Amino acid sequence: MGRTRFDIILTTDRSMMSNHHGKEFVGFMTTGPAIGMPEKLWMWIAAPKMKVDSLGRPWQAPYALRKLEALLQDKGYNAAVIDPDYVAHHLLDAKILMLSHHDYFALCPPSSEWWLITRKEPVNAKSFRRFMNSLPLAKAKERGLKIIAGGPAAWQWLYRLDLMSRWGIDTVVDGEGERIIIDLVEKVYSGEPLPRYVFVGPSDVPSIEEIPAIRRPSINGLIEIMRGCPRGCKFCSVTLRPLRHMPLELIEKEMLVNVREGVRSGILHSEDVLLYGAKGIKLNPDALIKLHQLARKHWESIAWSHASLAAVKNAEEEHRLISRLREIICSKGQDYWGVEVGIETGSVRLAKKIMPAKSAPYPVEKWPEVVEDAFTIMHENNVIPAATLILGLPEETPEDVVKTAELLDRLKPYRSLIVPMFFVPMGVLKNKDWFTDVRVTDEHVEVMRRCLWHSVRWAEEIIDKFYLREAHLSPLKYLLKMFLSYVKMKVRAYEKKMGLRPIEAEAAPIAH
Amino acid sequence: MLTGRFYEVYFLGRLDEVGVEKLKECVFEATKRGEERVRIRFYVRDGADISYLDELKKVLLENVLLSIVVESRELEKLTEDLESDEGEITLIINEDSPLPDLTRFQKKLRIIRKG
Repeated sequence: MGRTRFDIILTTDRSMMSNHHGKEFVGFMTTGPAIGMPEKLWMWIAAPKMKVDSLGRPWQAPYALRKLEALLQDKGYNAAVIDPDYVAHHLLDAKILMLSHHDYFALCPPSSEWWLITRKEPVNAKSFRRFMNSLPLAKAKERGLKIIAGGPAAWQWLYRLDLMSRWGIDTVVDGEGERIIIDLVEKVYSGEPLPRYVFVGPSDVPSIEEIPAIRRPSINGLIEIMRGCPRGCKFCSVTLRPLRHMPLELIEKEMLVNVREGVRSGILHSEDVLLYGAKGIKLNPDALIKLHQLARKHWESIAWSHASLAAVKNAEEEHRLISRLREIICSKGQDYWGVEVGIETGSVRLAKKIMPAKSAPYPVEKWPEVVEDAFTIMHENNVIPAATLILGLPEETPEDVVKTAELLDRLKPYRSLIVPMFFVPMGVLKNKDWFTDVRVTDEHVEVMRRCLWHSVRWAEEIIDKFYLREAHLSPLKYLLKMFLSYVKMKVRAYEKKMGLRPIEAEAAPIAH
Repeated sequence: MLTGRFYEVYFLGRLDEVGVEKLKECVFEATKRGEERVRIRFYVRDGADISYLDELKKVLLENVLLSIVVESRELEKLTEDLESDEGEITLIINEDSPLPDLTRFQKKLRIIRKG
C-alpha cells in the first residue's frame, strides 16, 4: 500500500461502506440480524466490499462523507474517505478521525424493529462495534488523535456513553455539518479543546452556496436534489430544516463525478422528490421535467429515494406528471423505478394528530383514499414503492391499528413492499434490553402479519421480473429467494403454533 | 458557527433533575429572547467525566429550534473564563461547595442557585 498519509480520515463500518452489489435496497438487510444463514454470508449479500485504490480509498462512499471530504479538501485540508479495512493503516498518522452512520447502535427503525421481533442484534450495530474494536485507538489517542462522530444517528451516542468513553469520542455532531466541521478542525489544529456535543439548529444549516459538490462517487450514485420538507409531520426531524433546492448545475456536476468513475446509474435524493422546485407543496412540473431529462442524459437508470403519496396523487391528477416522468425515466431500456413512501397510518383520527399536512393538498380526512389512489398510480406506471407505517405511537389506540390493517387489505393488489416501523420512546432506550419494554398488541401483530405476507408475495415477483435480472446477480437472486422461502416457512409455523388464522389469499394483481 | 453569538450558560455541580429543569428554563429563555444558539459549559473536577450527558439528553433531545454547543472545562478555569467571556452569562450553581469570589462579575452574571 502507498505510504501517503492523511491528516483527516472520514469513514464508517462495512455495513455502510458498501454499494450492496449496486442494489441500494439490498442494503436494508444490514438493518436486520442474520436469519437462516451464517452472518458472513448475510453480510456478503447485504454489504459486500467494494474495490479500493492503493491508499485504501473506496470506489464509492456514503454521500454525507463525500460532502465533508469535498468541503475539507476545498478548504485545503489533507482529508480522505478511507475504507474501514484500511483505516488502521492510516490512523497513527492522522490528526482527526470522522465517523458517520445511519444507525450506530441499531436503535432506529427498522433495525430496532427487527431486534424487537427476533431478539437478535442487527448486523449494522455489530459491524460498527467490531470495526471500532479493531482499531488501535488507544495508541492513536496517545498520539493526539481526535474523534468526531456525526451522521443522522449522532443522537444515539447519548445512549451509549460507555462506548463514547471507551472509544474516546471527543465530539458528537448532530445535524448538517458543513458549517461546524471547519470550526472543529481549526480547534484541533490550534490545540484548543473541542466541545463534547453540538446540535446544529435551523439557523446554522448551510446555505446552498456553502454546500460543496462531491469530488468522488457516492454509494450507487445517490445525490441530493433538495434538503428539508414543508409538511411538518410530528414524527419527523427533517421537516424542521429550511427548504433548499439544489441548482441543476450542482446536481449535474455531481452526476458527472459519479459517471466519470463508472457509477452510471443514480438515485435522486430528497424527502419528497416531487417537491423539487416546488413552492411549499405546489408542484413545479417544469423543474421536475428538467431534472429528469438531466438524469436521463447522464444515467443508465434512475431511482428516487422518497416521495410523498399525496404528491404522487396530486402530480398525476393535476399535471399527468407521473406518466410524463415515466416517459423520460423509461426511455432508455429502464422499465421501472423504486421509491420509499410513507403510509404511516390508515387511521384518519391518528393522521390528524401526527401528520395533518401529510395529505395536503387533499384534506386529511381523505388520507386512506390518498394512499390507495397513489398506490394505483404507482402500480400503473411501474413505480415500485417500499412503504413504511408507524406502530406504537403514544397517541395510538387499538382502533387506529385496526384502521391500518383495513387499509393494508385494500392495498393487496398493488405491487409494493410494506414495512411496519415500531415507535420506540426515547426513555425506553436507556436500557440495554430495551426491546423487552416495548408492548406489542394483538392488533399490532395483525398489521405486522399483513405487511409480511404482502411484502413476501410481491418481493418474489419484484425479484423475478424487475430487480435482479442481470446474469451476474443470479447467485444473489437465488440466495434472496431462499431467504424468502425460509421466512415463509418460519412464519407459517409460528402462526400455526399461535393458532392464528392465515391471512386470506392475495388479491389478483391488477392488469397493466 | 462557533464564532457566532451564543446565549451562555455555565453549570456547576452534579446534573440532576433539578439541574435539568433549570437548563430547560434557560433554553426556553434563550428562545423567547430570539437567540439562535446556546452554549452550555459544565465545570467538572475530572475532565474525562461525561456522565452529565446522560441527564443532559433530556434537554438536548427536546430542543429543535436552537443550536446547542456543550462543553466541559476544569473547575479551576471558571474565573479565568468569566474574565475572558464578554456578554451576559447565566451561572447555574447546583451544589453547596464553596466557590471563588464572584462579586467582580456581578454585572454580567445571572446566578441561579440550587433550591
